[in-house]
Amino acid sequence: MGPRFFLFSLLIILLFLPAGALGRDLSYRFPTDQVTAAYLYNFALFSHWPKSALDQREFFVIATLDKDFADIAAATLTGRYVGDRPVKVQLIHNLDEGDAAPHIVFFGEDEHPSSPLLKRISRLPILTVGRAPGFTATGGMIRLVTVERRLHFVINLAATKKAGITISSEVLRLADEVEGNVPVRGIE
Amino acid sequence: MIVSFSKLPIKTKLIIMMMTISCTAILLVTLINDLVNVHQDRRDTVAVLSAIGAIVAFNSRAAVAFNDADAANQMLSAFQFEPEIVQAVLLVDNARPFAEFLRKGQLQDTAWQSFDWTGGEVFATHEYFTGDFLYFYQPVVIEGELIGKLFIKAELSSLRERYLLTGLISLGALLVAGVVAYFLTLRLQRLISEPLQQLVGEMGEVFGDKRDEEARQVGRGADEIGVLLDGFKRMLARINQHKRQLTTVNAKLEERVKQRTAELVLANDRLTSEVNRRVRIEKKKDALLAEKELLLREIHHRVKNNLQVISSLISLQLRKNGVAEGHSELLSVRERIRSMVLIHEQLYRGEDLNEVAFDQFIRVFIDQLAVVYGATDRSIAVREELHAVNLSVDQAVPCGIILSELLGNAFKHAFLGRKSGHVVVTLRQVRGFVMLSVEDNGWGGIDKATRSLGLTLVHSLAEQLNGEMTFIDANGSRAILKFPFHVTRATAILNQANSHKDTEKDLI
Repeated sequence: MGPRFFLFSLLIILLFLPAGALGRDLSYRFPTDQVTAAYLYNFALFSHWPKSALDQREFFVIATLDKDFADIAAATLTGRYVGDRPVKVQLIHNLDEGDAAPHIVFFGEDEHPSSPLLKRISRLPILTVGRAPGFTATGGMIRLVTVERRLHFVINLAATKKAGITISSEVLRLADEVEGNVPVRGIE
Repeated sequence: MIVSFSKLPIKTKLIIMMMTISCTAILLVTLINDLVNVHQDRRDTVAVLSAIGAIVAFNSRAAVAFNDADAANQMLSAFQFEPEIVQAVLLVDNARPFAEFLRKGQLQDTAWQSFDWTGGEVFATHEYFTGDFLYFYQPVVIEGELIGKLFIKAELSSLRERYLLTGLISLGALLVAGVVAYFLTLRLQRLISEPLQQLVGEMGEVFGDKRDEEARQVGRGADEIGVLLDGFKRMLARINQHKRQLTTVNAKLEERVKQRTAELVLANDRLTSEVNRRVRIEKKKDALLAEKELLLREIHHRVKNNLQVISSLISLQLRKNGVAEGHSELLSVRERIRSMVLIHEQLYRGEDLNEVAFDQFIRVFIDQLAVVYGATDRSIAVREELHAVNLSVDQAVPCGIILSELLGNAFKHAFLGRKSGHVVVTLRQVRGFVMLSVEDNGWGGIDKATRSLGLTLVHSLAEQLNGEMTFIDANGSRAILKFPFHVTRATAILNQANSHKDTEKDLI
């Protein structure tokens, strides 16, 4: 058993490891989550919250139920500001009544669109962004869709209006579809 | 060139100068106006591009942020409505083209590649002109972060065409203004050139056409001003020459004046002494005259006193004789003497010793005789119609005796047996004759007494006066003495004075 035998054995082990776990994470979660985090930040820049919602927090808080995404987003958005507030990414499991409301809550692809959390916060001034199909139909505000390795989005304008959040026309113009209103891109 | 210009006539010079000045002024104004317009147009173009670029850059922020090149291209396609903009590129990540607009028929310009992204103010706009193109850079900023730059290329050939048109219009205006200025100059230059030419003409008449040799040699002004300068110089020389001559003449004149003044002073002194001598003689003469007058008065006084003595002696004799024979004759003699006394008294009391105011004498004498003959007691009224007549002593004495005889006759004989009567005594001067008449309304018959002594005396004295006596006997008696008037010295002076007064009145 010399060093050559050890190196050969290691190579064999690596070759037979389940290819999915590490390989899928690297190809799928990166860079999509980074782009998603950037999109969330851009949504924050081109949206306007009621003054009362902004006054409550020292930070601009982006909350998520996905720990992996939270880590990537935190790494991506560190040092960024929305207005004069630094961006903070917060991992949540459930949003209790007493907790300070975040500004954006991101629901991952695994989250069910009819999540009780979404229902509960739909009337609060919180921008909800999700990936799950039917997200906007169940009260979500922006749904992200990956088409040909590019991230698109659909906006539920009625939900944002109900929450008192205004999304800039520049963003509305970029949306694939604006529900609850005439499609902006269609007009152009 | 300046020498050639100086040889031109003043009229041409004025036209050239005024045209040059006016054309230069118009050209400068036009140039300044055009430059200001160009500058303003560039500023306006930059301002418009800035506004459009700022709007497009602002609206492209989301497209850049969400990496949506289609949306960005769509945004840039709005530039197709701005004909000047031929190319627009939205650059990200240090000059990587993200979206682009390129007008049809235009070549792609990569000038943005040479743009310095690191230098200068990051968030500021930048623009520069190259040829007919304007290059403009507009930063795309979101939340204080530069996320891209908008590069715009605008073609300004339309501006150039407009400048060309403006230039042509300005050139046309310049030509029109030049023509107008030329005609105005033609008229205006006359204001200066014509009087100058007139002056030159008059100077030519004075000095002839010869010009100053010195002026010719130095090439000084061949125009009218040069001629005037020459003329002025020569005039100055002549004036100086005349001045020198005048100074000489003045000196001579002053010498002569001094000489004449000395002569005049001498003559004046002589005249003064002569006048003084004559004044002294005049004074002496006056003194002598005064003395003579005094003596004459004294003589008249003494004659009067002597006659008065005679009269008094006759009065004594009359008183001694009483009413005896010859009383009447003596009385007549006495009255004749008293008439002479009265005349001499008037002479030495009057201002002039040569003549007697005979009218005044008559008045006094009538009163005297009326008393002597008791005319008042007998209600005989005497009326006097007397003009002012001055008689010499030679005429006054016989005339006075005649009056004494005539009045004495009237008082004594005319009213015998009557309770009243009147006598009229008239004295007049008519055409060189003196008329003295005594008229009464008594018994008349005076002409019958011509052989009496008194009337004989009257006729004798009338002849002495070269006059004549006339007696008229009708409703009383009337005796008229007419004799030629001898003008005395005082009467002559009086007449002369009256003549002067009449002349002055006529003149006034």
